Amino acid sequence: MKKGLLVTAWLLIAAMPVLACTSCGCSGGGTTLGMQLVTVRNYAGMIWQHTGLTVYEQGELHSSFASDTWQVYGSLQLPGKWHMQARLPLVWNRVTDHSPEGDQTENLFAAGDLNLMAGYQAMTLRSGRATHTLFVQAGAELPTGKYKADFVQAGLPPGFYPGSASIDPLAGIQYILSDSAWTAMFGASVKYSLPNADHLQEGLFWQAQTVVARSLGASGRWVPFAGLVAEHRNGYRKYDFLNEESAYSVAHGMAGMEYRGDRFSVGARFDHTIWQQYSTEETTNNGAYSVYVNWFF
Amino acid sequence: MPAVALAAVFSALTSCTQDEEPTPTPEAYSVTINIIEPSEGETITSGSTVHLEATFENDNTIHNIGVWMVGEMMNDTLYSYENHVHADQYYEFHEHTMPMVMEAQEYKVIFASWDEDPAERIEKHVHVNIEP
Repeated sequence: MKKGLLVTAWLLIAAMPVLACTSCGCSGGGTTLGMQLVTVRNYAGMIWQHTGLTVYEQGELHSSFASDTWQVYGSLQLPGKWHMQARLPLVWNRVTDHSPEGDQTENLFAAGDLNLMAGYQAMTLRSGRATHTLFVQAGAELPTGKYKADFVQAGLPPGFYPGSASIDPLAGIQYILSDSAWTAMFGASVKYSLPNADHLQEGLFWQAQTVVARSLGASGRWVPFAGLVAEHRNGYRKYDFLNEESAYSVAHGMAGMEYRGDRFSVGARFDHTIWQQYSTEETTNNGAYSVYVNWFF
Repeated sequence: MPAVALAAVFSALTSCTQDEEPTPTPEAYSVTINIIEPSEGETITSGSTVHLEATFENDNTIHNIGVWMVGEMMNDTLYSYENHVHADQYYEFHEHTMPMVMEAQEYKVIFASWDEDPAERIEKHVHVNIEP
């Protein structure tokens, strides 16, 4: 049972979302959904993730965006089948304008929006050696992150400031199939941002991912994993103006490895872009890589 | 004398009834234009992509907007855009163009907005140098 719980925790932790970008920038850590926290035991952890985006024009480098996100998170088991999760990102965003006169870079180091989710284990079904588990989640991102209304006027891309300055409802589901050393997961989540005081409303965001993992050896401490991640964001609105250029869709193939101790786990993961759609064809999502550590208690 | 007094009272009363609230004059159209790109004095190579980007903001409705790129010497127009956007308080303009020139010239990039009469437009501009 303990091994099963650890596999469940690992799988959800491994399924970190990538931070994809718009045609002129990237989403920050505070504006993506996390599905890594659904578990049936208490834990805390942190993850570092690097993402990037490059924009070309007529084949020449025009601008680039890089983002490093550190997230601390935790989950507590509540009475019954309920649990509660929290996640707080810190982001270091850089956007560089490449021009013949020289590069010009804008930096930002700031907190993102606090993510709070309540989860419920809606189903557990055993069939032979296989176990089927379904989680449902609901919550919100609270406006704790850095936000500035005039990012457009300042020539900065949407998502450069990680905060939305609004309460953003979240919902998600996860289905997990575990069978001895094998585990598979499918998850989907959605975020609907409300308009903030400046009448700015982030676009609807959804993400879906599937991951397969296998515990190696008799101890099962080494766990390679691989999967697919797809996500989409609509363009943002201000009053009734819709910025369609800020919409994007991206799909990643991902792979990684985790080591599980008795009370902790560490892992690394690489995401490679396999399909993308931005407002310009000369925009390239550079994928993501991440390293994480978790403590179970 | 009583007749004069009565006339004065009548006049005062009628003048009171005529002292109605003045008819409100329509507020003058106003809009705040913020040019994001291009920047003042920017040098552009003929055939390369130029971003034309600006925001328009006011407290009511933004009606018409226009964007032009006009030569200061030859008065030639390399880019022209007009549209009745009818946007609620906020509008972003962001287009790309690839101007082609045979001779180097300074161009005025004009962003403008107006209510009904284009002659009463509110505008803001920057200058760019386009070189072959």
